[in-house]
Amino acid sequence: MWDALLLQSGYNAALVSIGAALLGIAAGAVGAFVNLRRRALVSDAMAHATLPGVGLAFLVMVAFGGEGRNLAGLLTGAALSAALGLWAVQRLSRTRLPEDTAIGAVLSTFYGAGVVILTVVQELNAGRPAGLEGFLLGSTAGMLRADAMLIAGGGATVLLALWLLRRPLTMVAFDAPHARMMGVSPTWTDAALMLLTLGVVLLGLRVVGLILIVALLITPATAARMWTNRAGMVAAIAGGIGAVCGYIGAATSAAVPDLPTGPVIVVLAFAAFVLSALFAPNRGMIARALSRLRLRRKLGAAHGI
Amino acid sequence: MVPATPLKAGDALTVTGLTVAYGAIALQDVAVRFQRGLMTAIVGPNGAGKSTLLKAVLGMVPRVAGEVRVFGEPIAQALPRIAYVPQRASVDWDFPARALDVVLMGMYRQTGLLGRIGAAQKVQAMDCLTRVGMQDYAHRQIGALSGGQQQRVFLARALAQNAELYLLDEPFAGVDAATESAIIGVLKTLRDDGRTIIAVHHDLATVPAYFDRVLLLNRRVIAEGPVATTFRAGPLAETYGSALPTAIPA
Repeated sequence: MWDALLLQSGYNAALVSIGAALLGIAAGAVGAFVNLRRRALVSDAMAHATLPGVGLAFLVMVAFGGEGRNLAGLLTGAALSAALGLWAVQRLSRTRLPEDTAIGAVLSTFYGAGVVILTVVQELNAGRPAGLEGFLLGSTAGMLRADAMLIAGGGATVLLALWLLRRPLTMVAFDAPHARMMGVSPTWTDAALMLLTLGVVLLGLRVVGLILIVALLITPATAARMWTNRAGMVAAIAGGIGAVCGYIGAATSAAVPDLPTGPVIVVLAFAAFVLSALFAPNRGMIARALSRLRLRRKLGAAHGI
Repeated sequence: MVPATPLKAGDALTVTGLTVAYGAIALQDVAVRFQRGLMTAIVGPNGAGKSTLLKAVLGMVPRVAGEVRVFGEPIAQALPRIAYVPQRASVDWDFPARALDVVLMGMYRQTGLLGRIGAAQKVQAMDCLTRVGMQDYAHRQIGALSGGQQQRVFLARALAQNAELYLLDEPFAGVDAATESAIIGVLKTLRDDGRTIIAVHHDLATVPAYFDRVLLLNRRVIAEGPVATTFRAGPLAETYGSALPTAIPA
């Protein structure tokens, strides 16, 4: 266990841990803006909508005689079906359906379709489908150097784009009509945010899995909000929390056989949230209780009690 | 008819044949010109379409018919020259932004996508907060401010835009007397600086003291002109559909 944490349990485990840390930074920072723009549920629907794409991409690659488990190919399929899911949510929201209903319908339908396709894939028994279920809850087993490089490169790209767009993203999240008056298009900015979120979802599929990736987006950002009153700082702190959770989670999962990575990372992120909610200055529960107590003492003294 | 106030190099805002409907007709065939460098109050009963007029001018609500020109240009081109202060910004008050950050958002056209916010921009933003008397609250989270203070921060954001036309939707709604006098002082300074102010206004008693001109609106234009000649009992009764209890000259 300690060996894994200290990068001494082999080259591959170290690579995976570093990859998960980079994923954590990207997810935490993008998640800060997802939270501020209230897109957490849409992001979750998008993540679940990747599953049919993964299954279909596997079938297509096997049909063309290729390696069914090629990560780039699977992620392409995932991206296409996630985009279709996002489009479906937006299309349904434009009818009389409330947005949460549209999200629930799309999330469950796409996920259900994905499970059906994956079951068919397993039954076909072609192209070595073992390991596809790792996309559900994340797995570090059998992760290749190329996979880790993909996550690192993708994470860096997402972070760079996020840094460039930080001001439009903040302005649209805070006050979209005003942003529009300042020449910032809320439509395009929202589209960019969804694209960045899709990037994080795809990078996280292998490590955290599609069921729980939304937690890596929103939990570190919620914890970070406790510590600061500035949007940029929320993103930075969330990235830090995400990095620590990703690193420790991947290392732990590598050290304990059959332990999926996603749930470990998510439980760690929740622990970070609880610690923040308790101990953060000003917004933390303990700080608030103390300031109430001080105020009561002061009032008591003023009234000679 | 010759306008009582001489035109200063044209109009800031001209609206012609403007009709807006949300199911029912909200504004019908509104035609009005707002002169440059003056302060105009838009006055009328609830549901008269006062806020809708501002929003239709800015393209925030769709127009059924009509044309809007700002400094002779269509709205899309003129947007950088306009600042708008909504009645009560519908923002998430728990948003992680301090008063200073909100004002800096008004300077986006100046700093741009990649432009760094440097010391000069912060000094300028602080200056805007000082003009509305909020310099001591620059580092407070916006939700920790009172309603009047929040209104002043949003006015400071509009000042930071350095616009030529200011559209304000009830800038004095729900603010205390000190805030009201601070805001009117800022607006009059802007006006004296040659900028145009158009404000939806509710308090009839302060119209003569605050404004140069008045637009009486009730889904259509009842009257528009200098306060001295237009803000009279007759047109007001027509606007509100009944006699008003306030002491307005006949």
